[in-house]
Amino acid sequence: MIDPTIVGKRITSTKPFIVDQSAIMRFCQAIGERDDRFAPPTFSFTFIISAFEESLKGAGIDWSRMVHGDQRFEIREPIKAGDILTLSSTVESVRSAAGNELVSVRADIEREGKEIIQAWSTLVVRG
Amino acid sequence: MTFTTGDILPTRAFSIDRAMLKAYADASGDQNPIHQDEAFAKSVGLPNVIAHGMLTMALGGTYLAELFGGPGKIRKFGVRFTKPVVVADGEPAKVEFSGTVTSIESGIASIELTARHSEQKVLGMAKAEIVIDEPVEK
Repeated sequence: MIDPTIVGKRITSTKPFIVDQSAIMRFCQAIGERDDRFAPPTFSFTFIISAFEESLKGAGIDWSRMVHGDQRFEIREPIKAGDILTLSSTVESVRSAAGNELVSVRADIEREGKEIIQAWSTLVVRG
Repeated sequence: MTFTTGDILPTRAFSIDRAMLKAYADASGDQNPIHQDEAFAKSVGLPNVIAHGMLTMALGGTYLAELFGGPGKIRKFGVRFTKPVVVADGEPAKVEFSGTVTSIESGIASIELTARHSEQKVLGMAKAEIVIDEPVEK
């Protein structure tokens, strides 16, 4: 069972990171996207997931049974090469449904103090 | 291209093969062996290697970006992962995207997206909002 006391836990990246053009290009190539002026809408998940793993550490999650239930992005401004970003991750809820355990997490991405992207994931631990 | 509420977007099929799964794993950092190692995938009860859900979602983004002037135009994008896309060795999986413009308001087109593989919907509740009132930069 996922420890319910992790709900509300928020962690923020300790140092900003810089988005590299080569990372955007590699991602675009993998998904058949020819326009690499901006990062594709799902690009941020490549670094969000490690923040989620960090947030959920010690919560008793069996990662080998984890599947991705749903994913949502709100993008005020798209990411581009050279962006200096900070990332926060918040555990929004933990619940059980149909024999599975579900945890919902939110990521907030800021560029120079301005929030540009929020992303929500539901991760499902199969029962 | 201009859009009107009720428009049906042209269908586009993407072929997902093992090389694409490897490329996506390397580009995204998701090296979970269920997406690359057939023996491992079968050992955890899957019929074969499956595509990353986020790859299928990303291809939906590529589909929308081409129609609406680039990936920088997409403002909201959400999906549920309803069925896995199984990718056998030497048998690329075809995922076919289509969509409907459900509304256009204040320069934003709302889209309902459909992704099908082997006659099944692999994404549920797939919706996007895309900016359409800005000129496309060249």
